[in-house]
Amino acid sequence: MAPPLLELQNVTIRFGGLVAVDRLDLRVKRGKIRALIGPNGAGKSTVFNAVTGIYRPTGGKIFFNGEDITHLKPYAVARRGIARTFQNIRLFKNLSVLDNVKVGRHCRARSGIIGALVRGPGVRTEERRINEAALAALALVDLVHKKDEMAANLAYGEQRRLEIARALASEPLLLLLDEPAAGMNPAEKQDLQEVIRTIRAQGITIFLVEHDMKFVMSLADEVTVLDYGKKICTGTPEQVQADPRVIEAYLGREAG
Amino acid sequence: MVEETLKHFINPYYIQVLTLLGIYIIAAAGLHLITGVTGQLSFGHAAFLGIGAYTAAICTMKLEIPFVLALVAGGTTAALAGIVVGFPSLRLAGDYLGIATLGFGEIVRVVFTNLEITGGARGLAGIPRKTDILVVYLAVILTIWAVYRLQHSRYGRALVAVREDEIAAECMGVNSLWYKVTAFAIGSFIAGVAGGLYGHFLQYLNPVDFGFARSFEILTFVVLGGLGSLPGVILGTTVLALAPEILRFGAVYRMMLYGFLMVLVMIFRPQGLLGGVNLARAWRVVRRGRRQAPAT
Amino acid sequence: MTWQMMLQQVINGVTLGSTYALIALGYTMVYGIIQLINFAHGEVYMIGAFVGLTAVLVFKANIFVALLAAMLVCILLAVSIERVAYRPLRRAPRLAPIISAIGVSIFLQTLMLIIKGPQPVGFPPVVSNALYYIGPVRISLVQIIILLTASCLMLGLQLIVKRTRIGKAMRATSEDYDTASLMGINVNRVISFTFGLGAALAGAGGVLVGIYFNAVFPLMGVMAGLKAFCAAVVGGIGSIPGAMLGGIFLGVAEVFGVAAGLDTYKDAIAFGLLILVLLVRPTGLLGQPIQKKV
Repeated sequence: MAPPLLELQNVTIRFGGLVAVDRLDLRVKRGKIRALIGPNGAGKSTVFNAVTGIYRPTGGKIFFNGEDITHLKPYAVARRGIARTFQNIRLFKNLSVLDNVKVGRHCRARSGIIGALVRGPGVRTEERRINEAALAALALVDLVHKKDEMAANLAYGEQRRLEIARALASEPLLLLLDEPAAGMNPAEKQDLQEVIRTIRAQGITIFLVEHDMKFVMSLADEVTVLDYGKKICTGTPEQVQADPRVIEAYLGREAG
Repeated sequence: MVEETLKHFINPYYIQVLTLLGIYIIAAAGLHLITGVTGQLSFGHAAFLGIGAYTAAICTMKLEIPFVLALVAGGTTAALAGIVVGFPSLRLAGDYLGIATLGFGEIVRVVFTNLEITGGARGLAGIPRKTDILVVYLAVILTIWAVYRLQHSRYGRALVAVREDEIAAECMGVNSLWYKVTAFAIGSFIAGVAGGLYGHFLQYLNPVDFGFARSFEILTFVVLGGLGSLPGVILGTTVLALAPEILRFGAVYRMMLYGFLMVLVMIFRPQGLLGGVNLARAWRVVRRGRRQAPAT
Repeated sequence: MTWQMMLQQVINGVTLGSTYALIALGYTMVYGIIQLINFAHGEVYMIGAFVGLTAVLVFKANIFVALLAAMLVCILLAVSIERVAYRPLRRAPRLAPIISAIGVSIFLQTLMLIIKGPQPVGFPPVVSNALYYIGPVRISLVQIIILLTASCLMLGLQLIVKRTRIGKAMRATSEDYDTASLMGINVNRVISFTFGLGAALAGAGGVLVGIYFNAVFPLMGVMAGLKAFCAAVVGGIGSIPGAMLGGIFLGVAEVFGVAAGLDTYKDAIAFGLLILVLLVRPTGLLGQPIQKKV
């Protein structure tokens, strides 16, 4: 069996007295679409934040591509090929759509202060490549026509798509999507599912946190259910949906 | 020599004013990089001006170093100070960073007032007159060119990303601490050079000149002109630095008017005069309009 | 230094520190409620001192009337400043209200410079020069009055904040501005009230300092304001007990610093403490560490 792309071993995240994530074991296989679901406050976004280095796990280890990334800072994690979107959209509001995506490509380029001042041929080529990659990412989410708009001026759904384009610009190995369908209407959700499948077809592994059960079930290869920071079930969407513990914790508590 | 020729055409007093304006623009451009572009609050910018000014003056007076090298030395010392201050402070969020830089700026001022080599409270006099309007405006052009290039590059994009959302920037691979510290260092270098020019213009330095009043003055230029907009900073500095001259009539009341204007501008245009105005885009819109409109 | 001398310095330091605390409270309350560093606060303190001076010089008032007059004028002044220069900028970019505050500060400083001139004016003798001896230490009547007044004012403040409805509204708005307004709290009134409270304390502080150092001048708010701000940060910006503690701590540190021979570096003591605290414990002595939510 191939080693998992992302592995969480016994990860615990504590905030003062509150245990947000409790001894979580989780594996994300290469090339799959993996989902993490659970009621509000179950700790799903916290897991993402720990993987990307924003929070430091109180215990346990996180492995990516065979490497221990538990204590890495976010920028180091990004450089190793993990990209993400955020639950509460975190775009660079005063940058254009295109520039937002170009920043997404930051870790795949190199020119610095000297390059900025002395714009040699190497720097110009790099800028051109950044531009091309950014446009390609925008094309995937159908936002090229808005490339010079200020990010703040986009509609909500467009902003969510922009975040995905920005994350894709770095050609990540693993894409973390934090509630990508939040606030979308059914038509937009359909489009989003297509986009996610296209991304997976490009060989990128996808790990998503979602609230919308239907959205997840038709998309994911494997689902983990979290409740109060503890894993209560892992399996295919069908297995999870049928599991009585899941029904009690999640589906039973909320009216679907 | 240029200045001598100019003096035949323009009142030498105006030449003085313009020279000082140029020095202000350089100082403001440095703060623009730190606060406008990278979003790091710095309330102690004048301290770096002072460090550069005193260093450059000591270089020319006591070490017989040529002027341009002295300016570079002043800038470098200021940059090093910026790194020393910045490294621990830039981990602090927003307001706390501003407060820390304010404190640092005052400490530097007090230190200048106490050191022998800087002349203490009496100040440092007898600095050779090396700055003239030509040198200053060459420096202005160089500075604006450099800041513009930095702002419109991968480096600049990263700086703005740090300003807009530091956490998101980090998750895109931007080492925010490194970018903040380097922006601070470059901005301080620029301020140091401005300080060196200042000292060799006024020929006298006093620590009082480099306290928070001066820091706030430069901050006002940057904010009023439009945070994040380099043309805005140039405009803001020009308007505000020349305002006391234009307001000469009510010499006594002019500072009151100055303060009043600051409040007024903020209330009616809180993003600053050119804040949020992308001149390149505005220019494109204008050109498109002209092309589409029939010739009348 | 003998322990008697130390005790003496402590008394001097606590007295000085109480005046810093009175000013610091205004900074901390305003920052706590609208996250604004009110750079014009030092000028309110200065104007309070002048009002007290005028009350005594022109109206032959006693110290209590002078204090009251100063507090009243300062309340009016601060509430007006908030209404005119800060309220329109509540949703503006972060630096806009700061620049506005600096503008107000420049305006007030220059106004008083024009009216009164830069030279310090002495306070006429409202309080006798009596000295009292408690064992080896000496305390003047002025110092006693400062300590008593400051304590009463700070106690009054604590009562208002902890025991009244408006105090509760203040605390709620400080914690969460948006929720407080949604809960029906008139945030504008609460904010005006906060400014008024801080100004009253600062105004009283101005009169007390004017008497203590026998000097009132238009630029007295500049350094005092900055130092008091340092005190507020050291104690934990946003924390009322923090501002009190920070003020006293700073006063004592400054007095001991001078006694130790650092008198030319006196002003730097406040800023040195500030930097130290920011590097070691940025939320201050009594502030709560903030947890980031992503």
